[in-house]
Amino acid sequence: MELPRDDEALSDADGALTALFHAHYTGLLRLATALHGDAAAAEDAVQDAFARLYCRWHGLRDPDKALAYLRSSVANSARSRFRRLRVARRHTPPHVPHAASAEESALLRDEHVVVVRALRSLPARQQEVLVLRYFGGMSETAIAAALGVSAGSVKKHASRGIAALGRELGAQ
Amino acid sequence: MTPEERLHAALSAMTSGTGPASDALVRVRDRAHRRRRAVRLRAAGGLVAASLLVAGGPVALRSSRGGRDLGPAAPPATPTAAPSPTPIPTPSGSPAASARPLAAAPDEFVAVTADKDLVLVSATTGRRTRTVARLDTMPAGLDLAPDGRTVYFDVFRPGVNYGDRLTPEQCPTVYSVDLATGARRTVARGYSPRLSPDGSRLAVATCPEPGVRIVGGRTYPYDRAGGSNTGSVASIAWTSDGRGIYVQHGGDDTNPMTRFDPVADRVSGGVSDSRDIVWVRTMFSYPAVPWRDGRLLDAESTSSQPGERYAVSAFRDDPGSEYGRDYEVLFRLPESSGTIDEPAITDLVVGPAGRILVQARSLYRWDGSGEPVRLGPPYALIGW
Repeated sequence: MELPRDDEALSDADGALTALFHAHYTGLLRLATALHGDAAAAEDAVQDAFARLYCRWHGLRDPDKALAYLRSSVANSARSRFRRLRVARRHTPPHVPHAASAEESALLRDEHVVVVRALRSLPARQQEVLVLRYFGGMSETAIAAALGVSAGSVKKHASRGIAALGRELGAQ
Repeated sequence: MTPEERLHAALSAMTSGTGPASDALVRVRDRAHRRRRAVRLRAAGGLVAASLLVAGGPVALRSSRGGRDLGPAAPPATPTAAPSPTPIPTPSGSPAASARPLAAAPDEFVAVTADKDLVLVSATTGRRTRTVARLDTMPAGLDLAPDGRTVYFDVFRPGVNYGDRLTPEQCPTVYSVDLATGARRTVARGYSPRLSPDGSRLAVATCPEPGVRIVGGRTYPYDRAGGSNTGSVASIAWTSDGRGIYVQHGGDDTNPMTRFDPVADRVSGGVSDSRDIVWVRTMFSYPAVPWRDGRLLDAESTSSQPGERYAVSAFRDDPGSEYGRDYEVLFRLPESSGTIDEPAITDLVVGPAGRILVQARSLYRWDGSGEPVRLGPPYALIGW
């Protein structure tokens, strides 16, 4: 049986959490925003990722992998959120695609709006891979680890996704 | 520009104004703290069902928010003897009912297959021992009477989702099936049937107004207090002594859990403005069920990391116990979901002698120590 963590471990976690927050919170928030397309959901996902890490700090074998853990949590947060409800209710709640508000749209140039809309028209997995690859700057290996899929699968989704995005943009 | 460059530019522009709120770190700490926070249920809550059943007439257990009805005055602090239980009607008069009853053996549990067959399964071998009935639709709740003679389950209308706020027309029906005769009968409107440990009372989730009803007895509605939950009931569980009822709410990621507790006059849970129900906004996974020795079980139903081995943990149902500190991992499943897309633990039931059945990618039995034993593929629903 696992023993409860001790005060020393919790103190370590608190210090590490604060350092990670200052170093990476904004970057993770932007990544989550790009993934979710929704600022509130993104904030929720990133805070939840930090909270999860804090609670599992004592079980983290390599503290240097904390950032990878956070990225993975954020990358998986959208589907995880829906899946949590699905498991609890044993049904799949309808997925409501995010529609950018007028205010949000006004802040973006038309060109950017077109690209983001084209991105949102892709299958969820392709969206995730493209965002992590071309916005998050993550390698295929890192994306594969974060999403729990093979590197080949990442390559396939990236290839198909960028081709579909190109077609979508070309058609507009 | 290439599509890759256009994508990068667009997402950079989209997120350029994004930054942490001024209190973001405080919120992160608070959220982390809540994940670890105590399950501070008052010991007095053990008197719940007894006191609920003593007073007459429907009682609204509502939040004090807005100065609404707070229900009955607190009864004396001294323990009250449980009243005579409300008997659950059983089929009578049929020739088979007077014949030697055919009941599930203590080792058997009830399950529903993906084909909607209601079956009995050996908890020793994992093999099906008998098909009881074929159901028309997949139930969302299932329970087997302690005497092994009757199965209770609910039936939702097609297209109606478990966990939604239901209209009167959508309210499901709870049925029973007599294992001796196979006779099915209507028991109540509602869903998620749960028998008390002695099998004498049946609690169901009510609709359209969310709450809990004792069949043949009273209804205990509750408010939508507690943040973003829809007020619908996700699961019901009796306390081990049969004197209290835990309710988990749907529609919220955190599955906040309520313990009906009209005896305690102050809150020991997470939401401080409710006087007569205990809100515990912990990060419980689904489900949390009473186990033994005053402990509850918590099963991990989600994960943020692929390849995690899912744990079943026990934590004390005591004032001052702290989730994150005062829990212990009883066991971990020997398999992970493999990917984030697959469900983790989807069901957990406690059987005789505190043995536990867990459903994930496979069905497992845990006998109180050691590693869980794999029984076979999972079922759609189980009850023991």
